[in-house]
Parts: sequence; C-alpha cells; structure tokens
Amino acid sequence: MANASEPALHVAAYELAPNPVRLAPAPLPSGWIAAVYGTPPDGWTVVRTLPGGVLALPPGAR
Amino acid sequence: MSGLPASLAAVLAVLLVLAAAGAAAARALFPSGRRFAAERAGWSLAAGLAGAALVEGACLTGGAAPSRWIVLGGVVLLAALGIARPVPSAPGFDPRTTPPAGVSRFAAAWLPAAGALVGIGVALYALRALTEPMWANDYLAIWGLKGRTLFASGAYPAWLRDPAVSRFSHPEYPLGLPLLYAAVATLLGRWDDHAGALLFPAIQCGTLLVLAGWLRRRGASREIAWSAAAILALFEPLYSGFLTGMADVPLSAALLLFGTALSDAVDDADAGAIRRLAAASVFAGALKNEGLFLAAAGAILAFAAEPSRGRRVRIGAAAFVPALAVAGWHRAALGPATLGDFDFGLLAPARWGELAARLFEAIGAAATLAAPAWPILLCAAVLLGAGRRRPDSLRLLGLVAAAAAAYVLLPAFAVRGPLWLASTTLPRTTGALAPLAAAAIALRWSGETRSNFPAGNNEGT
Repeated sequence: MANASEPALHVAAYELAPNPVRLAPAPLPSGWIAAVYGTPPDGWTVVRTLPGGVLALPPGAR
Repeated sequence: MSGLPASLAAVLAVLLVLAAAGAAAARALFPSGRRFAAERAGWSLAAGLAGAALVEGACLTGGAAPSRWIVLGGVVLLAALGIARPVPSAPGFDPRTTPPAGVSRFAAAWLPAAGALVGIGVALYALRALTEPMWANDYLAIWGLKGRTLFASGAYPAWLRDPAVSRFSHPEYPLGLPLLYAAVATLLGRWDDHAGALLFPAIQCGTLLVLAGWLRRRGASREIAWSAAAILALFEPLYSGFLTGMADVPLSAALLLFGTALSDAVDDADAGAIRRLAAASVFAGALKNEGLFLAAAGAILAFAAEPSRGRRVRIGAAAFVPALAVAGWHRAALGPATLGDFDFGLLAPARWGELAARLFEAIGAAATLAAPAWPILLCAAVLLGAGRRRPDSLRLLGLVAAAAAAYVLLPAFAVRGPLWLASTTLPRTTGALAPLAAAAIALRWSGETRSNFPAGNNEGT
C-alpha cells in the first residue's frame, strides 16, 4: 500500500495477525508476498488475483 | 441466543470461572472474615485473570501450545495452592457489624444514591466499551495485535521482536495484557475483540470493590467509601471507549492493588498484606514498563515509612523484586529490547542545555493539557486540603506524585519531541492514577484506623 498512513499499517497488521505486515516502500523480506492494490509494477509475478488487486512477488523474489 | 449476546454470555462465563478460581487463590492473600469480603472479590478477579495469563505465558515460554484444558488446569492448580496456603484468619474490627455512630438522615439517604451512581457508572462504561469492537489505535497496533498473534500462532513469533517489522508495536512493552487476551481467547476457543471488551467493565467492577472495601477497612464510613467508588465509576477520562483495549484500565487497577497492599504491609494490617504486595507488584510489572518504576517507588516509600529494618527490607523486596522478576523473564524469554521512543543520551553533560529546554517544553505541554481539567483538579485539591493528614493517605499520594512526575517529565526524552509524547499519552496515563488518588483523598475524610488493626499480625513473626 503506497503512501499509507501509520494507522492503516496498524489496522492491516491487526487484521492479518499472526502474519506480519510491512508497508511500501519498505523492501519485501525474503519469503514474503505482497498484497498490491490495483495493478502490480512491471516485472512482478502475480500469484493470485483478488478483488481490487493482486498477491504478487517482486522481481527476483521466490 | 446468538450473535453478540451469546458471545457476551460466553465471555462472562469465562470471567466468572476465572474469578471463582481466583477466589480460591485469594485465600493465600487475605485472611477469612467479612471485613475483607469486598476487597477479596476484587482481588479474586485479578488473581483469576493473572493466573490465566501466567499459564498462557508458561505454555508459550515452554514451547507448548496452550489449550483450554491446560489453561483451566493451570488456574485450578493455582486455586489449589491458595487453598493449601491460606492466610491465617485475623480477628478485629468488622465494619459491617460495628454500629454506625450518629448516622445522619442525609447520610442514610445518600448511601442508596451512591450505590445507584456506581451502577450507572458501570453501565455507562459497559455501553462505551461494548458498543463496537475494540478500536483504539494502540489496541490495534500493540495490545490486540500481540494478543491475537499469540493466540493464533500459539507462540511468540520472531517478527514481533524484529524492529524492522514491528517497531510500531513496541517489542519492549510487557506482555501481561496480550497474554491475558490470548488466555481468554484460548478459553473461549476463538478470538473475539467485541465481546472480549467485557473484560474492561469487569476490571472496573473489581477496582471499585477493592476501593470501597479497603476504605471501609481503613475506617471510612459507608457513605465516604461508596461516594469515592461512585465518583471513580463515573470518571470518563479513565473508563472511556478509547481506553478500552489498552493497558491503562488494567494498570489503574493494579496500581490500586499495589498501593493499598503497600499501605497494609507498612501498617502490618493483616497477615496477607506482604503476599498481596508481591502479587500486585507482579501485576503492575506485567502490564506496563512504568509498573516496574512504580514498584521501585513503592519500595522506596516502604523504606521511608517503616521503622523496623527487617520489615523495611521485607516490604521493599515484596514491592520491587516480583516486578523486577517479570522484567527479567521478559528479557530472558524474548531478548533485550530498546526503548526506541526515548533518547537518554540527553543525560550526557554536553546535552544538559538541550535537556533543560526539553524539560521546560514537557512541563509546559503538561500544563496546557491539564488546563481543561481544572475543575477536576480544583475539586481534588480542595478535598485533599480540607481533609485530615494521615500517613496511609500520604503513602498513596507519594505513589501518585511519583507516577505523575514521571509522566510529566519523561516526554522531555521523546525522540519525536516532548509535545508529541505528552499530547499522545499524558491524559490517559495520568487518568490511570485516578483509583489510587480516589483512595488517598477519601482516606483524608475517614476516621481513625490504627485501632482497627489487631496487634501482632506480623506475618511469620
């Protein structure tokens, strides 16, 4: 989530617990998957399409 | 029954089971006798909740996945320990059987009104707490997040200690409240952040029972004791929807338990006082970092107030060592964590000028924030000034003053600036001192107490 507010991070972290959450533009740690609103950046691998966005991996991630 | 009513009934059942187990455990904290009944009821809830959190924490530390039966079994074991190690019963003043001297017609009429106000205060707080799921930012970011993670993962995952991922959730905060949330969820069998808020009005009820019961035992009339409880019950800055889910309401209860037990220990009021002090020290240290600071302040107060060297050491140790042990467990189990919000490099002599400016800014911010509360502060000052000077009241006021001073001055060290920290924390942190302050003020309007205590209640001597 680009330009998300701090409270948005807190809500996302709470709702997705026990899975950890980070907000863009923080780098995605190894083994993580990104929830992207809208279309992912070029070069990203879409893992699953969701309403309003996708789950995706950045280039080079496994 | 379905939906929220069913969920509330399930949470209520969990709380009643824990309070029942806590009642048995509280036999190790209080002598038998009706004069302790109200306090014992409040402590029973605290003991039951703490026991469940303790078992949950023991499971997580030991690598065992907590289950309903393990938590229940652990709580029953704690209850059995309470039954096995009861405090000897103490004869003495019983406020319920002592005929009131010269009760005025006004006082007789006021008592039911005070009771009704207590009920209204509890009902209003229940409405504030239960209208919607717990929503405060710090509940989502810190207390609820950790509780939900502990419950859902059956462990304390490494990412909760990784500042790169979870700095916002403060890995350095004690885990007492998250463990309690996880324990209640374990007993319920699911995470419920709406009905689970019932915990907070329950803690309010326990606080009010301890306040009124302790004041009665200290010589307060029924009217004074229940008036203090009524005023506290209606104290919205503490019992608010915003604070529901955060650690301030539980800490306010723990501080009342700590202060009253400390005063009882110094006065050698009964044989369970030192045990209660040690238990309250655990509660305070497990809830927030300032619990450790206040435990230290309590130990210092005990050293100043207690003339006997042996008892001084014993009371001071009971006040401080349990909270220190909780902090030690936290560090050993989870690793060291820095207080990232604070820059204590300001204590270096080269930065004293900057520190002085920040202290002025912090004090100014506190004065600005306190200004709208002037009617409350004025009432408290008048009631304090017009009441009688008593040592037990002074001890509680000493704790309140130590905490208030820390809350006012600590923002001077805030990385994001004194104004930011003061404005985001000061109203709620100082609000959590209300039960302790209510006890201290009401005592000054109460009768003599020393004669109420039977001589020779020196535990173990």
